[in-house]
Amino acid sequence: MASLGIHNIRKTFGKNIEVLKGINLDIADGEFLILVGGSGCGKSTLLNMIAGLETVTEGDIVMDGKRVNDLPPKDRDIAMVFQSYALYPSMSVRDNIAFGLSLRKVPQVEQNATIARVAKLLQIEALLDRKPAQLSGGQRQRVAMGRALAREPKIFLFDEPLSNLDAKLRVEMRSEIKLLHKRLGITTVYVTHDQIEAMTLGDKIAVMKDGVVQQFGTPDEIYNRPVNTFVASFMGSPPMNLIPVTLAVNDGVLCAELSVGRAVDESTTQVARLPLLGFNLSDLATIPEAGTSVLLGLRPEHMTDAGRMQGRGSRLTVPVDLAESTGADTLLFTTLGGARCVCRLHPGAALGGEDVELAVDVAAAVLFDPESQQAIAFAR
Amino acid sequence: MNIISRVFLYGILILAALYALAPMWVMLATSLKTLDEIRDGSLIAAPHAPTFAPWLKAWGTACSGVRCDGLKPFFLNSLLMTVPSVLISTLVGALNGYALTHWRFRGSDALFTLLLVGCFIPFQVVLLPMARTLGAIGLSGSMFGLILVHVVYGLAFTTLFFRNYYLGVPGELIKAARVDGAGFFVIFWRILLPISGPIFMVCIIWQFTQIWNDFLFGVVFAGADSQPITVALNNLVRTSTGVKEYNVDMAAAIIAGLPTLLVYIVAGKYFVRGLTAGAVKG
Repeated sequence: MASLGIHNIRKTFGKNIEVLKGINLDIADGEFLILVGGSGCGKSTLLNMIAGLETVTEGDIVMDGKRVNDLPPKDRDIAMVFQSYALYPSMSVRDNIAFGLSLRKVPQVEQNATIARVAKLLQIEALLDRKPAQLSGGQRQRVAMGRALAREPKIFLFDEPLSNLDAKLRVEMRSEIKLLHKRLGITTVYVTHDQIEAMTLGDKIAVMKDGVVQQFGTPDEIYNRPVNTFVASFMGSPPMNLIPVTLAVNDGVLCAELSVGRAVDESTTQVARLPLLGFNLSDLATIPEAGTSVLLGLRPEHMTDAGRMQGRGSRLTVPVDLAESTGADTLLFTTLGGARCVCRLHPGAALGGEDVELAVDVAAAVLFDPESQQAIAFAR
Repeated sequence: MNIISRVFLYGILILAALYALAPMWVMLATSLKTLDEIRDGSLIAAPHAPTFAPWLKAWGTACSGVRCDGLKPFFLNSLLMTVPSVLISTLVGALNGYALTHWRFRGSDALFTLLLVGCFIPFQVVLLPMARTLGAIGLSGSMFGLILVHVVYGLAFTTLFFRNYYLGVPGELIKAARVDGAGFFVIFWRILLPISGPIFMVCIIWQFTQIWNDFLFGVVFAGADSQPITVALNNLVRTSTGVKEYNVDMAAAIIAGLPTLLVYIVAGKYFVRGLTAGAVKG
């Protein structure tokens, strides 16, 4: 168990390829940190640096208040689970789990006890004498976790451990990892490109892009108060809608003016005015003046069919470009402010194809600067 | 496929097989004939009364140069030279391949390119510098010198084989072992060697064939006591007292080629398996 500090970490490959550009992250003992981002954002490199598998170009990695930059992986008291599981192909499951222990000269009796404990925990007792090649993907995943657990490390590192599993197994293993973390309380760093894994597993999430942490916070903060359009559209599925609007003030209430309908079909395009009730005009310092163009960020679930909302939310009638039923709800695609926009409706709604009256919960909206792509005001 | 094309196909295959096997047959038949029969009969006829006398003579009493104790001592020389050369060059090649793929260092690619060039240097080019080197370190004319030459010359090939094989081993495997606490040699010994069987077979067959069959290095660098069987065979065939003993020559040639033949028969299937192992991701 340990706290983990990442201070001003930089990494350059060769002369001038900078993959990490000053990363700062701190997590407390027992916390679950998610590093999430698209491919090439540097998240795996950062994980490898925490593990000691990559050298640190600049900055400090601190575990339990101790700088570990120059410690080799084996002295950092970490355990790692890899995307390909990386099980030793010539060894049985038992030997795979015991490998790290035997290298550390743990007595045989203790090794056997550990293997038994880990095997029970992960329900792989029946597999102990098999070779990795004789295991299914999910079983390999369990063995890889068992190997990591056997060492009772201070910090657990996961490098996209679920991305080679099929969808059903992935969900299963996801909750299992969460349960395991709850039970053992070991500090964990988990790399993924899957925003659902990030949201469900993490105590803290660091959203990364191009070697820079875009936002570091709790899943709730990341989801509801994204600091820029990248975070807003990366987290959430479907992603947050970013609607180009013009600000106006009407009867002392801040409003967003936006075109409704497809821009190619100008005869049917009309301008709508959406009161932004969540934003306080007296708080004008943080809100841009009227006439400014901004991006209005709205999650799909905050744009739903008016019928079931009983008067709550601002109303907006939109044409239906496409409606997809997912079973649990209906996704409605429409065009607002010239941008494709997704709304989450109740099942069965809008499947007829005629215009739909939406209830828009503007109290959950975020305003972004279209130039800098940064958030400029939150309703909440 | 209809009958005609099938007959055509098999006909060609059988012809090719016969063409390839004919010299082998002539050698075998001749080695089992008496000299009289060789003089009278046709080249490809089977021996009337097979005799093993030529074989025994080739093995034990035939003269090469002034020595008349057959191929036996030279066969032993070849074994003493080939076995260590093959083992050392294969093992070092494995280490090289491992380091070049999973412990990249500055200039490792350049080093590999240079090693690769080693595969294309003809034997004749290195003769003189190698002779000077062996002289300088006091190993000229000795078995150790010959082994060293074969190891050095074989390294380019074995390194290439193992490097290409280990490229297929995922880097995460090495990382996992490092996190588990294993170092350079422990990883090599406990993780990589156990999965290197097929490529070891390829390397051993390749190196064994190359080194056993080598004539040039043997004739140049070996001393009188350390000459390999290829050199002895040449001497034996060229030493004649009056009559040319074709049957003995043929028997000697087969004896000299037998070990490589044996290696292919025993390990041939691993050879093909190993050659394709690197190509298919598994």
